[in-house]
Amino acid sequence: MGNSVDEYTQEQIEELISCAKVIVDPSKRTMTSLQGSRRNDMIVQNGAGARFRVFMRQSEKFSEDFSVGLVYEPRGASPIILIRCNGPHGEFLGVDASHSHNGYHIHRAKVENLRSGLRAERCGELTDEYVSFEQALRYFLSVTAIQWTDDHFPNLRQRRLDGFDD
Amino acid sequence: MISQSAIENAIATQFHDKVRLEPRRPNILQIYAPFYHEDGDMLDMYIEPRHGGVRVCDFGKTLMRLSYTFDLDTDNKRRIFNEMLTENQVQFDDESGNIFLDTTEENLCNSVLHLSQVIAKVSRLDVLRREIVSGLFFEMLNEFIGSELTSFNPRFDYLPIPGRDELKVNCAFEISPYPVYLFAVRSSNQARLATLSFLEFQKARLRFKGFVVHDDFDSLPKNDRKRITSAADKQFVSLDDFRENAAEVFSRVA
Repeated sequence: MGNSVDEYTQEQIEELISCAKVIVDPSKRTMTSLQGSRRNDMIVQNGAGARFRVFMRQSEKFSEDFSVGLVYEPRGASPIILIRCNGPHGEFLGVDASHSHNGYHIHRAKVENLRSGLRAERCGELTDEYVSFEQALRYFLSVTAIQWTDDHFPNLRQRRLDGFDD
Repeated sequence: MISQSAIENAIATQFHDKVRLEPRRPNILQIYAPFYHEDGDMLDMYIEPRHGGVRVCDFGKTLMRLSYTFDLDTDNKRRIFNEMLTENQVQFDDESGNIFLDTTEENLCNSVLHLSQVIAKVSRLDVLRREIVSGLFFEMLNEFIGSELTSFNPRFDYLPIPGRDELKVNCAFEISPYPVYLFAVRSSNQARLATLSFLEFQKARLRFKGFVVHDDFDSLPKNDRKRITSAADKQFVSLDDFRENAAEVFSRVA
């Protein structure tokens, strides 16, 4: 993957988001409390050796205010947030950037943003995929194809196929 | 052409229409205003009525957002952050991460606008990220040479072999008994060029000392590190290393 923003295509961005990834530096079993927010991070890697950082943040004051994101960190270049799943924290600019919205939403990197010199993940879209931090994390792990186990995220204990927890 | 009074009226009306408060928790109001981060999220600002006044604050949200891609994990970064808050006359509680200022009802608008500016500045502390700072490597190196090493007669963009433009060195120091030819290296390509140049100078039987300043020596691939180490007489592994030790090293070879 090239370092210049001109070298990315939307297909490459989508592939970076959805390609299968394994955890190479796992997150802590519990979030760390630091300066008003609960935080956790981990490093994941895809089959081609590209490395990504996952961040998990949740406000201690407003627990519904959280963000789980995937950061692509190409060597020697600025990091790019590929996807970020947020809770309702206030308004955000929608995809058309002329209207603001409020609610659970997802920011996703767009090549036109990169080429315009804007933040890749500028502007978000409302979502009904989750209504809590744990649900957002589970959704995020699914769309980013990160392979995880109960050891990585004990709070997310994977459901059996019959839908019942142990 | 629109008149001044119409402009004033438009600003006043639009500000009034676009700013509102929403209760977020008991005794905490969130400010909804058209101030957005570069990523499209609205600035997080809150109002907390208190005895004797009003607190305008962010409840740690600014640092939480900054931490997505940047940590205040060194003394220098924390110092820069604290200086920024002090210079902008806002307060900070380290435990809660809360950036705040206490104000009065009469000064509420000014305080909200002021806090929004501070939040925007703090949110961009990520310009201290390494890949941004390292982009200034060559400028900072030249600036240092031009101010601190002038006694060693520096000449920028020097051609040790006349006519061989492809073997230009970043800086030549005309000292006795042998001049120093300095390359600044920030990438594999630059490392290989420096290596090749030193070998060409040796082949041309030039009498010189070959020095290299790296942006980050450890970031070079192993083979590039081995090749340049074999060809150079002295390497500085970082700009900080060069700043700390260059004068003393040059004094020994001069």
